[in-house]
Amino acid sequence: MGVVGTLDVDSDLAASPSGRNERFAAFVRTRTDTLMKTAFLLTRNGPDAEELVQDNLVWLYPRWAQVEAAEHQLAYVRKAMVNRFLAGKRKMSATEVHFDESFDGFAEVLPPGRDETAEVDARDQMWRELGVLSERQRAAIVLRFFHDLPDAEVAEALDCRVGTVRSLISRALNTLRTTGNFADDAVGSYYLRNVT
Amino acid sequence: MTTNRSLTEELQSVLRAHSLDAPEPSAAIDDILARTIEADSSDEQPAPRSRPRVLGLPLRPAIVGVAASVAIVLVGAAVVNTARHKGSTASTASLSEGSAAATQQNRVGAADKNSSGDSAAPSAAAECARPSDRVSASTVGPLTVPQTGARLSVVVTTCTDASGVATGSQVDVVSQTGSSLATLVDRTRAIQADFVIVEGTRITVRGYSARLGGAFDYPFTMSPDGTAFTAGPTQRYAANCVADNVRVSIKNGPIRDRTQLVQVVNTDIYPCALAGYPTVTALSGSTTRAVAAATIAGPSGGVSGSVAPVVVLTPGAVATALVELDTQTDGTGVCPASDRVRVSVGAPARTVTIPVKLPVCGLQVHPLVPGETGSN
Repeated sequence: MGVVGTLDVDSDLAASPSGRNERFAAFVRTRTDTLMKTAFLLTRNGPDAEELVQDNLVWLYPRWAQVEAAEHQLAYVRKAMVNRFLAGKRKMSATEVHFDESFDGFAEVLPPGRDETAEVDARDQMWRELGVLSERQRAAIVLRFFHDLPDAEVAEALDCRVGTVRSLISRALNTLRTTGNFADDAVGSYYLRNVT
Repeated sequence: MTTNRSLTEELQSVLRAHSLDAPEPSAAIDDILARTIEADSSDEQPAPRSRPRVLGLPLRPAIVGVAASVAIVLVGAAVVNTARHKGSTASTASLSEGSAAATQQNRVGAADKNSSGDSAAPSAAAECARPSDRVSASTVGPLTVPQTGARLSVVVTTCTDASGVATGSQVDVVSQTGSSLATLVDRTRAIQADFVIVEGTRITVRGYSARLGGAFDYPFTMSPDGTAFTAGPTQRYAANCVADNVRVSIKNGPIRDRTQLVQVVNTDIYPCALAGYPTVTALSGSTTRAVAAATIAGPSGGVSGSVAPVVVLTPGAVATALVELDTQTDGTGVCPASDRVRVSVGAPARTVTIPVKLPVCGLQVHPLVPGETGSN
């Protein structure tokens, strides 16, 4: 029984040296964990995160020579993944059924008289508000505050200007600060100063 | 809520905490390597782009296309099918834009090596991941080849563990002599095939995977000469049932003092899917007295068949799992009672703890099934 596939790949696949395969495999084994975390924070959904990571690396495999030529391979791969995420979201219609995986399982049945709203953790509120952000805002937030990338590298990853990154982060933080009363900080103030 | 942290400190903390909920990478690593390096090295075709391991199945929840219509029901799914088609199409996600899903074709090999006329299910389908797994098989058909009139069949082989929980299904198109012509769903994908629809040359496999996020339709089209099976875009039919969209409770079962029912109701406006057993723990205070044994069926009911069914709950629909009790089996003639029952469904799951007294002897629970009786 034979199979013919019609994947869109570069012609250099047929001539790929075994050394490149080993380097690709090594990258996959060592970097998938961090890519999965990034993907999960972007998609907020386990299966979608897996799909995003897998599809991105499968797509990059025939183009691995380009990845190896990049100054920072992980940044290159992550940028491709973020772009794939943003492009994919833009294609989805509004009827997509999307379930927030942050509440797996079932709620505790509380004894009568307890105020459920008092049980809601501020962190849950912030996590939920992150889901309300636009995909580009969330991507900027994840790259800036989870990966601690400077604005210039966030701009590189999002293919936009530094000013745009600051604007995305400003608006996102403006949304997130409604989840609680926070102490002042220089970083937050810097971005929130530019909210429009 | 007041915090001593700054906004950005709290944000970083939240992101780090939730990043730990990301899926384990090991399965993704295996899949990536299988779809790239291993696929290259195992190809038999001149074109190095094919994927012989996964044949014609774009296993991704990116959704495009139109759901199939009336089903030919597969093993143990009759009641499920009825529940599923109750007004479910209105809430089915159906995106209009194509995804990047690769179209794959399964072709009959030029040399069909199985010429012995063996009419058994394809041998590959009988191999489960673990030696202790059990196998159940069903056949759907006929699938008639337009140009030749040959009658093919679709064989679904499902591997299950000892409690009947499916570990993966394989769906093969089989010739009249029993030789496998194409594998539409590979069992290593750990998808439970719920049922198969055959309409002319169109085959749709509905499969469930909690890991992939719910129940999906995988459509295929047979070529007029029956030598190729082209995969269409996958469509998610129902997402996993999660905390926000179900309500869980316990009520008395059909046989008083011997049975209880775990009841799960879909409170959402969309269908959701789940399969397997709830975890039922009998407690006294905070002490675990007994954890119900997961058994496919018992003296008072349960699942007819050997596979825990996939349950798709349309809005408002109910699924139940039968809990059986035996009050006199602790050897002393007295069976201690718990004062609370903790029920968990899904993994990871938060739990529902209900103040219900249950004898703890001989506690067993059967799989979730559609309807209110705990049996199908």
